Amino acid sequence: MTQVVDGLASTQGKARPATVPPPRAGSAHRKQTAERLMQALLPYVLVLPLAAVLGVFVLYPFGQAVYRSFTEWNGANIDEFVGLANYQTLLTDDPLFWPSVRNGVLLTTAFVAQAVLLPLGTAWMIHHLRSDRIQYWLRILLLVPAVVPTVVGFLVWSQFLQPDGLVNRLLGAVGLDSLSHNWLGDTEVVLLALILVGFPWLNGANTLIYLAGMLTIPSDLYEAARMDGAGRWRTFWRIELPLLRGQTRLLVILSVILGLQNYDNVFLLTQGGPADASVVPGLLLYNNAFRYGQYGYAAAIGVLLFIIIFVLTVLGPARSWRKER
Amino acid sequence: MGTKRWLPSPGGAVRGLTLALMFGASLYPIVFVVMSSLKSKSAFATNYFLPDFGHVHLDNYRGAAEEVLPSVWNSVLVSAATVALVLACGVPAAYAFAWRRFRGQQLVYTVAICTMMVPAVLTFVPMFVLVRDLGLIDTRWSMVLPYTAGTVGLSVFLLRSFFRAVPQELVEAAKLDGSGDLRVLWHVVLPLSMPTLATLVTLNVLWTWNQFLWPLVTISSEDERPVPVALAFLTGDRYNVDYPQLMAGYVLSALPLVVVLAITMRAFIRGMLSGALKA
Repeated sequence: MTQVVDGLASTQGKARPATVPPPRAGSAHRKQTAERLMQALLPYVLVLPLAAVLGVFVLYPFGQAVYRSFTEWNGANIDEFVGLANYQTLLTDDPLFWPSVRNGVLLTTAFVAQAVLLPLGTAWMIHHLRSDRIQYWLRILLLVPAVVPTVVGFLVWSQFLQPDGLVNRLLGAVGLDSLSHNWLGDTEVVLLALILVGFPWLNGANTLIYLAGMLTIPSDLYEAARMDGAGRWRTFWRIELPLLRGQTRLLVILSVILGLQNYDNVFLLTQGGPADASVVPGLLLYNNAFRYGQYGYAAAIGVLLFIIIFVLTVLGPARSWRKER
Repeated sequence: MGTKRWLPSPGGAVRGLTLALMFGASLYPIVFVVMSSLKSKSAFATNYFLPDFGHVHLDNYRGAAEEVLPSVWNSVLVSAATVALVLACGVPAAYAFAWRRFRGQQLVYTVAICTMMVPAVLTFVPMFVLVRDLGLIDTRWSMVLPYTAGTVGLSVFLLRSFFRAVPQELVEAAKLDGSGDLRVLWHVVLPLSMPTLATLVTLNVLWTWNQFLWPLVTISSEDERPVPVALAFLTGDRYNVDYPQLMAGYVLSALPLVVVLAITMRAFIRGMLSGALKA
């Protein structure tokens, strides 16, 4: 593998010097000229490994994904250009596509709330604690859940949500047996169960991002707000929230991207079941590619998902973004 | 007045209590897994919620170690190689973007940043075919190279903005002293960027450690499995699961992350709080 990357790297390295302006005429010694040339070439050498890795393992697969979405392809012998047929089937004829989009949007909405609103609230509560020492320890405790591999989290929650698992036992212990369910086996509650996973969704990294933002709010702003008689509530809405707009936008965008393409949880907890009630676009893509061998069709799902993500995260916020720059 | 200082305001009490409940509920599953891993099978069946201090059952770990440790080692190698490659590709490029001017710079930088917006789910299938055609299926490279490509865009973005924050006078003074770019990078810029580097390394380790679906399709032999895949296969017989041993396996699978976070935690928190990640 490295040979392939190296091979690509060296051809690019040879191609590049042509674009570099020659060292100025009249430079004194040959040695100095060589040094200048080195200087001028160095940036290209520095950027080359990055360009090689991204070219081979992002741009090429990206191009392939788009092209293959117009083909009927099984990754081997079947390979035929079919135009928009995949898209047409997907949008009009696949009984699972629209339900998967609906489920994906629902789960992503919940995920954005978990990954943005809760960290905002948590950071706010920590930031306004009086004791610096408790603040310090809470920051460390924020990171502790990160040591749990996400797969372990899902597997443990899968146990918790079994009919005889922790959730139902807790409900029984407080006399709410009537609320207990076969959480992962009931089409009515399976999406709710997936949202419940990870309760109370402490998100250390995102909370730290908000805390970082709050630390940059100058204390005289708080002072001024207090002088004006603004309570905590008003201070939050009028001062803290507007000044944290950058962090909020970053986290919303990242959460939408992560949420819409995520299907680890669905894969591990329900496999899209029961009766396809929890299928999401990512899982649909995976199943079409690796269970049914329809790589071209799977690529079309990926492209549609990409378009949805692109519209939501780039075109949507682009205008307000540019204004601030 | 004297006593009032010790009494929190009603609002403060509510916030403190909320935080306590929130952290408690978040940390309880970890406590649950650790204490269940120390119970015998029968103790787990009869006493589900509470620890069983009377009989610490370390045998679970012996059984789990056999099944989990090889995959832990695979994951350690994959994460280490990924971090090394990300830094090897990202640091020099970020320096060039931050402190040099060259033709094509804007284009290359923009493309590199835009790769962050290519969702992994879109490239999943073509990447699989690419890796397969390169003959990398069932090797660690099938994970290391795509992971590197997946995180290096963000890394370059963060590193560049941090390198730019190094005072310009420092960089120029070093250049006037006759230091070349590589010396400036190594002796001036990098030492000042340690919290960011620690943040970056930690984020990359966590991210690579948690990849599940990709190795699920590229790794088929048991010997090459990374942790998440091995854990997913651990339950085996669904109707006769040895839960305490399973929990012991979970604990073992998290140990390297505990070590990494324990080492980088202070720098990581400092890096995050100094705004390593901001819009």
